[in-house]
Amino acid sequence: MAVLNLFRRPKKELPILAEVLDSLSDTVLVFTPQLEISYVNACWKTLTGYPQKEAIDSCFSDYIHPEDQHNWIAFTQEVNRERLSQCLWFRLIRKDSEVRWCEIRLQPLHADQHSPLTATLCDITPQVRSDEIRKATHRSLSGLVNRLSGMLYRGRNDTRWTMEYVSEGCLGLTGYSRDQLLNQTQLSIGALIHPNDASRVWETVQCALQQQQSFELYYQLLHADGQYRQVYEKGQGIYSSTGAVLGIEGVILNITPTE
Amino acid sequence: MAVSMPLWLLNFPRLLREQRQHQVTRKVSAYAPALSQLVIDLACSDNISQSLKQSLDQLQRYVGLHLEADIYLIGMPIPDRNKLLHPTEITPPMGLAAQLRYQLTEHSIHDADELRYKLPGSALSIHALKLTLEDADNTGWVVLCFKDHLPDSTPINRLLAPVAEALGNGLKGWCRQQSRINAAISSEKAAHAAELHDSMAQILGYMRIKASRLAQQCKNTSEPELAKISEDLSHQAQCAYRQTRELIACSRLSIEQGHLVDAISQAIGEFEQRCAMVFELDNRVGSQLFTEDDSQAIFIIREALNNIVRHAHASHARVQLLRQNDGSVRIRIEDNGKGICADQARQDSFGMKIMQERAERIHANLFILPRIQGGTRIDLIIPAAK
Repeated sequence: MAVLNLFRRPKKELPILAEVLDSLSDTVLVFTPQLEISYVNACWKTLTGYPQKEAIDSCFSDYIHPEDQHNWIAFTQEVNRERLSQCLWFRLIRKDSEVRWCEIRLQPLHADQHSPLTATLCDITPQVRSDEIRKATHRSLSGLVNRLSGMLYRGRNDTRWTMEYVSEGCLGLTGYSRDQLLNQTQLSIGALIHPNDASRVWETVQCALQQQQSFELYYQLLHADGQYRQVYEKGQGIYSSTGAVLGIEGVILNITPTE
Repeated sequence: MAVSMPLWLLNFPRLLREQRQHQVTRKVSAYAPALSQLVIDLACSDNISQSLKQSLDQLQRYVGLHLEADIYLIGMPIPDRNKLLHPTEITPPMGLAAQLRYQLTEHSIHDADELRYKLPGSALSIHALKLTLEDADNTGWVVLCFKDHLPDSTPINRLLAPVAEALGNGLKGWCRQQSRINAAISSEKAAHAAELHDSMAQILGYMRIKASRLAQQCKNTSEPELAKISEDLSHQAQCAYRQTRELIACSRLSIEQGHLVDAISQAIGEFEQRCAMVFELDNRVGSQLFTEDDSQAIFIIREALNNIVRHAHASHARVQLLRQNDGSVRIRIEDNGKGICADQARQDSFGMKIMQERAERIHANLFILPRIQGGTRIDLIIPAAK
């Protein structure tokens, strides 16, 4: 009954629009043609630390980080040109000098007019921070893998040992770059294994895969300089939950004695 | 000056050609400044600010006579690129410097080589020609300021274009000369570092280990006098080793004066690759950051970042470049790690002492403080350029 009443309330009982806007947890802005602020809702104070009154007639670019000013200018020009809603990420400088990452959505109030412009501003600092942490973890991990003085790999279980992934250590080990090993069809790890070792390598791996055990191999691998290198490989199968072999992964290290 | 001769020879035939072209116009040949001399003066300059000023004085006589205009230069490869250079006897009108800075250098005009406009709120008009310098990121302008009306572009350029070309060539020559000098210094430093590394550091490293072992063994004997001497020996060996390492590290670090901001972001990029920490660069000063010696400043910043990666156990580091109200720049390097504890401060006191010494060398102030929210905060305050 209460729900019905709510919907059936006559229009005059609806809350005032300004109250609705002030209750939002995103900032709502209206800009003049010169991109000065002509309206902000209450959330502005929470986001920037500046009172609403101070914001009125101030230039919005005053709150933007100097390094993002260029993007802001290009962005507003594009909105003016396209007259469509566009979105930009930028850094906003708070009253206490702290930086907040924000996403602004800017559009003309009326599709057929350049101004006034309306915008919503959303604090995306937590997302940006967690994204940075994720990137840093990935960067650190890929750095670790690629600096390793050996080759980490994941590949298919075929006689060519077609590779899906090899770490950058492949250059030191084989003399071929990652791109060459992954994308050149005539080049494969299988083709680099010494003919005397190739069948033993294949059989050892197949045997280990059947028993779902790891394998350990010593063989000779042809380097791009034409010399064979003694290598040690330790790897294992990648299996689906039903036990089917999806591929193999492991590490190959150069164990050629140095003179 | 060894480099000036080939440069001069390189420019010589073209300069003659230029001179010949000028002789066609009688008016120009009568008063034209010796443009070849201008190129040589700038290219071989020991003090580019001074040479530009002298050139401006000469050019003003020429421009004043023929065009009744004042000549200025902006965006020159001097420490403060935004400075408006003017002839000695001319004081630029109020606000002209800021207006030109806004219009020509900060507004970064990429497509126009010539710019003509009337200064808002005054009777002055501007005719500016872009100077092609070595460095594509920075543009220089030669600016003519007319008091009442702005004449047509063609007659102005007939006089100004050869001047602009000569200025551009002179400055290009000077920039090349500077980068050759810098390269020579860097390679000398690198050779020095290699020698130090090969000989000294290895012996010192060996001595450090042996001295430390000796001290440990003497401690276990019943001779306190011996223990004291050996401990002192070990400490001194440690200091000598660290000092040599510092010297090596410093000579390997090559930075071109005026590129501190680039060097900071490069350093951050480098440290990012070596750990799982999040680095943030909050640069609010643009590329305009000047110190007396950028290599000292970058060394302090790198040492601070180094300490964060090695000791702080932090997940987040931030480098903030902020201009303060008095014109000085604050470089703040902070982390959210475990902060400096008394034990570690003692271990690192050598590194911190060196940071302090380097800050003093560039008349900067260095403060190493705990961060209120946890971690460490290092503030390097670089005074405003005089």
